[in-house]
Amino acid sequence: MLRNLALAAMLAVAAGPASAQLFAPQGILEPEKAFRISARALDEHHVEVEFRIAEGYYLYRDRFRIATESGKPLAEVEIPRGKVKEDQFFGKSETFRDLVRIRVTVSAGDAARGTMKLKITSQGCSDQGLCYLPLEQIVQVGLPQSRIER
Amino acid sequence: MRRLIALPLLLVLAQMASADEAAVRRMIQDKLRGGGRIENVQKTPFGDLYEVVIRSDEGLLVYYADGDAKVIIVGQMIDAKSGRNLTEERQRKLTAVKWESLPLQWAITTVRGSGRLKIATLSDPNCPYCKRFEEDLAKLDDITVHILPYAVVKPESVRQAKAVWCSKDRVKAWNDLMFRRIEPQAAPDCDTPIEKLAEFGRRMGANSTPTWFLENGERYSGALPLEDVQRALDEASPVRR
Repeated sequence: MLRNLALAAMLAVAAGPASAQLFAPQGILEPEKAFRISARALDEHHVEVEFRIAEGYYLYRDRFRIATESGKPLAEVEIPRGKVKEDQFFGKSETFRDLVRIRVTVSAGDAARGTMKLKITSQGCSDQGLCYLPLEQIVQVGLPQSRIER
Repeated sequence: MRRLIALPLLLVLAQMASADEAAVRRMIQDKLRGGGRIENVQKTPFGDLYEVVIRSDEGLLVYYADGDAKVIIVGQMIDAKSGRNLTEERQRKLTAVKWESLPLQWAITTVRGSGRLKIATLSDPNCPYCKRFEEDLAKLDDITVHILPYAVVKPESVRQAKAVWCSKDRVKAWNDLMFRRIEPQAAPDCDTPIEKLAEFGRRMGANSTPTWFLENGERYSGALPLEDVQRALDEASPVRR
């Protein structure tokens, strides 16, 4: 997957977050690739943010921050329980591997606009012995404008 | 007699090589379409392969192409005999920094034995692997360890790193925090380089901790196994006479 992306980046040169082996010569993924983010609307008021986590990498449950594009934290964020990781030194923490889906409730104002951008911060580590700086990503989600009254 | 034949043959071979090099350059240039630029094209000692170094927005990329400029190879070249990752070694050389350019005046420095082996590491007090890495380094002798407090992983890292810097004995305060989880007691209100170090690290593209540098300027990420660290240190800081 890494290779395809690197090649695509070189050939298409569409800039973006793809590629970059510069600072990852040991086969360590760039954080955007270790933790692939996507978001979709579940209904008019709910968005699901998904992280696909590469094998050998993990995200901390208590480091997620979900905010509007301007940085206002969203009040209703449902993060599932993670796997408890016991560090004799840093104590207990919950982590996710493979996949995590976070459910976010969107305010009525944002929902009415039909689209919104979310600023999502995550932080994780690699089993190869390193921890990433918090990663801030912006995802845009289209919200359905359903006329069906519930 | 043999020498007489060999010389023209070498010339022909050299011309062929440069013709191939030009073809590879043209092909890659064409594929790049203006994004990124070719930093270097050179023949590898292996088969008919050329190494292509490209400087793009995302840094230096190393690719390979065949002499006929028909294919591009994206991946790692491994020495079949030694198992060494030649692509990785090349990238490390290409991305090396100048040791003298590191802001060691902002480091928390420990010297053991002769201090001959030199390492500088960007470390965060809330990065478990930084702790493991520093524990490993503490096992080595004849080493100078420069800790550059890189307070980036957690918000509280900043206060902790500043308090360490404001402590009378920075080495002790840092080690207490890293190894024993004893919070630094000093008020974090003196003049500290913590923000400047965060800026330095970001400028270097250090998006993970620990990120470390050796005397030859080579840069590494992560708490590698101690044997690997030892070997890299020995290679980077050879015995001088």
